[in-house]
Amino acid sequence: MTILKTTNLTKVYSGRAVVDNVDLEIKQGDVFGLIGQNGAGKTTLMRMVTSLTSISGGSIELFGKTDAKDLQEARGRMGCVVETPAFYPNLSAVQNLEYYRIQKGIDNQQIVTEALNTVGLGNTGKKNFSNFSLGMKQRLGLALALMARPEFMILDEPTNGLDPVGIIEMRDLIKELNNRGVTMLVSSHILSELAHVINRYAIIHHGKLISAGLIGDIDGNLEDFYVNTIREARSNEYR
Amino acid sequence: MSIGKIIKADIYRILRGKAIFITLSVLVAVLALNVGLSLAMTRNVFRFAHEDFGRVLQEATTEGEILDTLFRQEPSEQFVFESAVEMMPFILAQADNLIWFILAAVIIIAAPMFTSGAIKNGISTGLCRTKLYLSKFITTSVITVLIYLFTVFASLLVASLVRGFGNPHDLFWGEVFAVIGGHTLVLLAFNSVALFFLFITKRSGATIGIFIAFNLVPPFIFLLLANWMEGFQRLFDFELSSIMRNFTSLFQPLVDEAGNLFGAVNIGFGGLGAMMGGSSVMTTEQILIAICLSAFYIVGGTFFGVLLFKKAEIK
Repeated sequence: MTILKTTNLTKVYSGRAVVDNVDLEIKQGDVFGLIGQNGAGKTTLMRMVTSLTSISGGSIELFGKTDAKDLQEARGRMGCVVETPAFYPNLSAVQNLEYYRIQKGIDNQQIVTEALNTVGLGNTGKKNFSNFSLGMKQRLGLALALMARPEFMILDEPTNGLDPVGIIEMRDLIKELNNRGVTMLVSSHILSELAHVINRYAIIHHGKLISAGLIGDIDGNLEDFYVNTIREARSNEYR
Repeated sequence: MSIGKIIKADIYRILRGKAIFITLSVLVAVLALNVGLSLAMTRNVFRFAHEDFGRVLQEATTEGEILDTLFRQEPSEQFVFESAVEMMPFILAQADNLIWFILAAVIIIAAPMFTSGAIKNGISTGLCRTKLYLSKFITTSVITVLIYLFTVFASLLVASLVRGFGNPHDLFWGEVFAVIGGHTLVLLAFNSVALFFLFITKRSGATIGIFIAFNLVPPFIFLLLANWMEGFQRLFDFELSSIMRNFTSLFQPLVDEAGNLFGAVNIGFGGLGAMMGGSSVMTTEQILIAICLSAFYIVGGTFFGVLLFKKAEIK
């Protein structure tokens, strides 16, 4: 079953296509790695899928839905951490998650504690979000994404700000969630880490999809393959 | 996610912050100051002290001497407001001050989701933008109405306890509710405008700035135009702040009885209000314009706010 499919997805800012006719297909059970340099268009693509920004062209199909209203409902089956996690600064971790629990109409009050324990933030007490480190913010973002028991998760640079132990914990968590049946779209700069968890990849360069496939089909390691693919794309651009 | 759940979550968040309590404390302090001062306000009673004007005018050499000779101040001072009923125009005129508290409510309720960036958590997981906008509109509207009713009834209660309620004339309650209805409509229009500015700019500072300009710039321009050509005076019928003051004038019959107290009170509020304030009762046409204009701001502001917000980029 296809979870997310984009067809000719395009975003134009000031006459320049930052995402240019991108076709992606993520199937149920995938951990899909979106790879690219800074400014390649990864985050913009994720922002279009999550409706944080409008699309300039093409289409998005999510859980088989394409109509705007159906798409919006389908997004309720997702959990997302796009860019730096943002929460109400004067509330604690528990209060922030409680706010979203009420908003989403989740009756189970224990889910807040469970989500915080899963990401290792169970003991932050009354500490306000404004006093959190980047790593803690990242974990809280993940806790929120997990809270609604999503079927599909979008994680934009989930290891940003995490220490080495946190990075390994994040890797394990992604694997565990995937084993539970959660499909994932993950972007990361740390390709060695990404290679441990993803089964499919797509490389974006200057808004264009230049390579996509199964991670098992790559000869050698992901980092070398990525560098070679980018170099090849650059040399094609100069021709 | 229903509108009700979004409102419930907002109430949970607001009650865990200090801002709403600080705003309410300031509101109570302003009320206490206004009501307290107006209850303590006295008027000096002057009587003619001399019957022979001609002789006084001939003999006196300065203006002060003329006044001192002609008039004598009564030793006893009278309160300006002898009862809550007499104070009613002043109580209702306090609606002028409330627009700033409505702005504060809009900022407290709706701005943090933009300033913190937390708005993307809901939107990215299927929260309907229209429902989000309407939930903020409903919450701020309910708070607007509650603030206004609290202002009126708390002031009335205090005035009644201190001075007694007084003897209302036959049309008293009808006039009171007419003014309350008019003011509520205008305050909701202000609320809608403030919310529109916030959702368009997504910044509290910009919203405050534009809202202040919205309140001060048009009346100032209208005033200049009206001074230049009398016909432009009519422009004030199409301006929210003026409409608010005009609605208070629906209490005019009582004002006339009390010696045009409202005029004095309105001057007490200072500024443009005094110059533009409704010194005469609104005509039916003016009332219709006021209702239509307020309704336009409420419906139009919300409609265009939703329309623009649906296409807006969420940072």
